[in-house]
Amino acid sequence: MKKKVLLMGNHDTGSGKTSMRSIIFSNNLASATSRFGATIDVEMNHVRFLGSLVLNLWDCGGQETFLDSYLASQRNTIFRDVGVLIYVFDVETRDFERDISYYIECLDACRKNSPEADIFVLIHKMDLVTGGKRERTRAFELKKRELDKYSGSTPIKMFGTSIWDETLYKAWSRIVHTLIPNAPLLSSHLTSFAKICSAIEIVLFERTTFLIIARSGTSTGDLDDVIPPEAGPDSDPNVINPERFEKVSQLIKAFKVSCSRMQEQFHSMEIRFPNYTAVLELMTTNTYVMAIVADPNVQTATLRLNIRLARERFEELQAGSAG
Amino acid sequence: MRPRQMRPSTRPEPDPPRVPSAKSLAGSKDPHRRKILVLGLRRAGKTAIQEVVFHGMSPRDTFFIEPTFRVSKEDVNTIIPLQLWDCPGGMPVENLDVLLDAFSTLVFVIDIQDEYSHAISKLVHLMAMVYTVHPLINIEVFVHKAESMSEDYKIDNFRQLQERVYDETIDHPLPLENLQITFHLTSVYDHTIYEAWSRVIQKLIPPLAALENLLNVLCSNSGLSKAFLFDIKTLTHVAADESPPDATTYGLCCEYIQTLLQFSNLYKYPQSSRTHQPLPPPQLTSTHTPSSSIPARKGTQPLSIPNSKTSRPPPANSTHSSAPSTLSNTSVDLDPADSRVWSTSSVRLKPQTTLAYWEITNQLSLVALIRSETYEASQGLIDYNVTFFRKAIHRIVDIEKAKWPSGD
Ligand SMILES: Nc1nc2c(ncn2[C@@H]2O[C@H](COP(=O)(O)OP(=O)(O)OP(=O)(O)O)[C@@H](O)[C@H]2O)c(=O)[nH]1
Ligand SMILES: Nc1nc2c(ncn2[C@@H]2O[C@H](COP(=O)(O)OP(=O)(O)OP(=O)(O)O)[C@@H](O)[C@H]2O)c(=O)[nH]1
Ligand SMILES: [Mg+2]
Ligand SMILES: [Mg+2]
Repeated sequence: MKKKVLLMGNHDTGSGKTSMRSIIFSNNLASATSRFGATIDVEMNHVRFLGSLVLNLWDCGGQETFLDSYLASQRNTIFRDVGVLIYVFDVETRDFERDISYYIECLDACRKNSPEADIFVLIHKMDLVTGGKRERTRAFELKKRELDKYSGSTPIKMFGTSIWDETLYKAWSRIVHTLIPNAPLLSSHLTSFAKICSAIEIVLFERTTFLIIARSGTSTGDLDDVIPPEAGPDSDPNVINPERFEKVSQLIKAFKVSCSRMQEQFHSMEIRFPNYTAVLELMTTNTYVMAIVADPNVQTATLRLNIRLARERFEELQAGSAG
Repeated sequence: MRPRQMRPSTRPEPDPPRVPSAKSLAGSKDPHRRKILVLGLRRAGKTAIQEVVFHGMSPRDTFFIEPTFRVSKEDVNTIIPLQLWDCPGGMPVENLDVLLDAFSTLVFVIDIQDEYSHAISKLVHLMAMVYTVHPLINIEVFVHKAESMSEDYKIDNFRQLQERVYDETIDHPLPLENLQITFHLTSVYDHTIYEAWSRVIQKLIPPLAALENLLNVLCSNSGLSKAFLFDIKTLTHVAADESPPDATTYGLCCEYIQTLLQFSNLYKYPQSSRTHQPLPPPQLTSTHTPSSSIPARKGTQPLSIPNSKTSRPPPANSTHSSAPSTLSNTSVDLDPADSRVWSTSSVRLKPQTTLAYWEITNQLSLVALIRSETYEASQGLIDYNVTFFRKAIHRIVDIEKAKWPSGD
């Protein structure tokens, strides 16, 4: 299955489209992006995701001359057959009005040419908002409220993101999640697999991007369906970080990049800490699985064996997931 | 082996203070604390290099550090007690309230991006001063912010700067070339700053030779190709085995520890939440239960030593016939090192290396590189050897601790 993904947004100093694309899909570190030059016209990339899904990424340069031409002479080529439109705003933009006017036009062009397209808005570079989490939430809500006015009848999903933390993985996991039709099924299998392994939770990541595909503990398959893991009767729910899945994505992805500097590839990891055990290893050819166990009696060898035994089943399931 | 001579300690190890005392606190007077003076021109990065390594500040946040206006002294407890003196940029050392001979080390930070002749003349002036009062001081020059330059350009600059310093010391009326001066290329944006601080601190660790010796023995007994003993709070390595160091390897080990620590922060389940259920059957209750392929895993029982010959790995690195053998035959007595569960971890890389991690004390961890074949064939034996290594380290640490004043 092939999906055209448009990455758009206008900002003369770059709203961060190429940066995120290269971190998620090309194993670049956030620190490497400061050297990127502006994208000239459209850069096209095909990335394979979960084996059979091909994302046809159109990274559209955001300088106004380019945008003007996307909206005029190139209108049909750009906005036809769009599977997903991702529109990126710089949270610290100096001219939000102008950004919005381009947004409205692109939104309109996309809806007319590709009525089926999923649309996402990212309010990016959130790390530049001074202050703490509260200030960031406020800045995000402010922008969101303004943009919601132009969404029309269908609500548009918006995320606050930054290449410097896990929010990037959170947003992109949700975006690609819309392209995985049997995510709920995967999720319910992970839930029963977690029971078999005595695991607190089990998460499935895509192999190269480390985006989250599915996890145990959600009945709907929705990644935001937050059911706290069974951590025992007297555990403090605040101790369990609700952002832990995307944090793991971010951590392991960065660590993988470091490993490749040694001319070696990351393959698997085991952690045996006094209060939990974790195993991270390949599940299928295109996914990694992470199992977290709090029961000290469960050996990592047992977990790995269980994973090996489940492999075939998940290969089958996943074959159905990328259509 | 040196540790044998040391008296065994029976008292449980006190928790080392993990958080250094508050910044502005004037450091303690304790004479055992080795003092390190950090100097350099304004905005060279003096405060940043300490914040990142000793307080875990993220490199990007150093951008917001305020200029330093007065000398700040801070106690830091690594394997030995240290005291860092952070000075305002360009401050004349004459303004210090102690003599230069109070310091073990002088760290001089130079911004590689600056036109550095002013910094060099400052440095040479300082060298002339210490020469007369304290010629044995370690002078450590951090040629800093190196990440801002391309690889070739920064090496050229680094070499040029060293030559300039050398030329000026030669021209100086005093024989300054006899001072102990070491140059480090550093940046807070990568592991080079941890590496540099490791080297600085190692020179001050009295039992360094004993630690290195232990690491060497462990490496040859367990077929490890490289091993570092890390101070996990500062990510500096306290000691390494004698095999040639390599910057990439060290950098990767740093990142491994960072990854583990951040990972474990995400899963801080309270201890009480651990349930004690019976082992689940190692099978999946699905239709896919292969009957033949339940492999017996070797090496998960740490006490499979008697038949260690069967799990002998292939020679790992040719220098020694590295068949793992037990590290020590000391009888297992009650020891603080046995009294708790220590964290371990491993990462398998492809094609051939395994990274392994063992918590050694509350503050120290061992990180090693091993050929994956060796690790898989003799994991139990290696773990067993590490328990002896741990005991030896605990003894050394206890002896060092005994020298610290009790109030610490
Ligand atoms: N602070 C911060 N900077 C970012 C973030 N994402 C990207 N940047 C920086 O923003 C600059 C521009 O990023 P690009 O990815 O080239 O932007 P772009 O949207 O592709 O720009 P055009 O191709 O011109 O449309 C780079 O210097 C990035 O390092 C972020 O989340 N936070
Ligand atoms: N590029 C780069 N910048 C750095 C590095 N280390 C520090 N800086 C920056 O250098 C600036 C000065 O850092 P400080 O730590 O305040 O320097 P200082 O020497 O303590 O300054 P004074 O106390 O005023 O003398 C800050 O903006 C830091 O972000 C580095 O390794 N690379
Ligand atoms: Mg771009
Ligand atoms: Mg300062």
